[in-house]
Amino acid sequence: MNERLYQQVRALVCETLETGTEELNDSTHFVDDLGIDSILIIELKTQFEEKYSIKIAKEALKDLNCLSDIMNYLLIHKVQAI
Amino acid sequence: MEQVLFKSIYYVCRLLPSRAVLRVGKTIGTLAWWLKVRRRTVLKNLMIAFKDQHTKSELDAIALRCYHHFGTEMMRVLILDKETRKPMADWIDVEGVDLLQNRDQKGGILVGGHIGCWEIANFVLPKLGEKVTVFTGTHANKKADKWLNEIRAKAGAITSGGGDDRTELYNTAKSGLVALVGDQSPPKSPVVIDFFGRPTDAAQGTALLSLLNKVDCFYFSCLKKEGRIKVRIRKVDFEMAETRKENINRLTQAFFNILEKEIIENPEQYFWMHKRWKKDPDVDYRDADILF
Repeated sequence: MNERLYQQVRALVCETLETGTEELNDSTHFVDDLGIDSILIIELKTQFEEKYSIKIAKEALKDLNCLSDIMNYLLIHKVQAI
Repeated sequence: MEQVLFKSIYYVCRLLPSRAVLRVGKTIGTLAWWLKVRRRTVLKNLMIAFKDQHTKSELDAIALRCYHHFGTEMMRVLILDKETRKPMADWIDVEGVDLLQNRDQKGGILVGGHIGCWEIANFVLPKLGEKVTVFTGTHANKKADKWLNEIRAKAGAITSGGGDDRTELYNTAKSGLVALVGDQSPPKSPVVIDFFGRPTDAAQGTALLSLLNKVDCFYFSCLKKEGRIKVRIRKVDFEMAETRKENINRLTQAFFNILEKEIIENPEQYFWMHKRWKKDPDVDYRDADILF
């Protein structure tokens, strides 16, 4: 279940950030390593909210800096793969 | 201590006629020029931008007028509410507002550069018959920032501080007009555009807001022209590409092309005091005065 969620999350991040999967590992920092603008991080948040029907507090954004941060957040909030 | 000084200057300015305050601003500009405040940076930027188009004395003259302009505008902020009590038609001409009124989407981005009188833009834009939220940067000094926003509000500006939280900006752009300045040089940006013939880092936030929300982007400027203020609004047009990355580059380049043209026409009204090309390895800001 987590592996399926992981693959979905990874795919959504790559699609939203327009990043190749080879550029993105679990600890790749969106801003520091990929130069992603904060507006795009907000777009990513919106995409996750729409896909998984959850609400991500804007205060949580500052802690969602890489793929593993997002996975941890979703698991804590008991989000399941679609 | 700083706040006491600023507030003292502010209250003295409130007592003086507007023309006197603006003349004081021009004098401050002259003083800053003679004290060489950022003069090397200004001259170097002008040399890069205008290469062999101007002589040394012409560039010096442009630079001095630049200091006069920003000294004046700095003081104008302190009396903005008095200035803006005058009927707009008495001192401001607006061109291009029909582009906003006839846009296809509810949302839209108004992007400007550090040229002209952007504090007046804060006041004018919300009065164009369209609801415009002006997003301003946040100063490091929080008290000064709060005070500046109070002055802006007193002048009728509807501003929203950006800071690190751009959620409000993102959400507002979907269904309303947002205005912001877009010619900053961010610490890290994958966007490199041509600006005065040099590869220049550019912020991508404006382009992202436009592309992600599928709303049009409009360039605005607020310039001094023949004793009046001229507000110009133009659509930022570009040819759509296959990828978002390329669209970001194209839209940003299109905005900078318009800005560059306005700077060439009004060089003394552009903020040359920051090191625009500091990350360019071929640019050395230490040599400007020496070269002159």
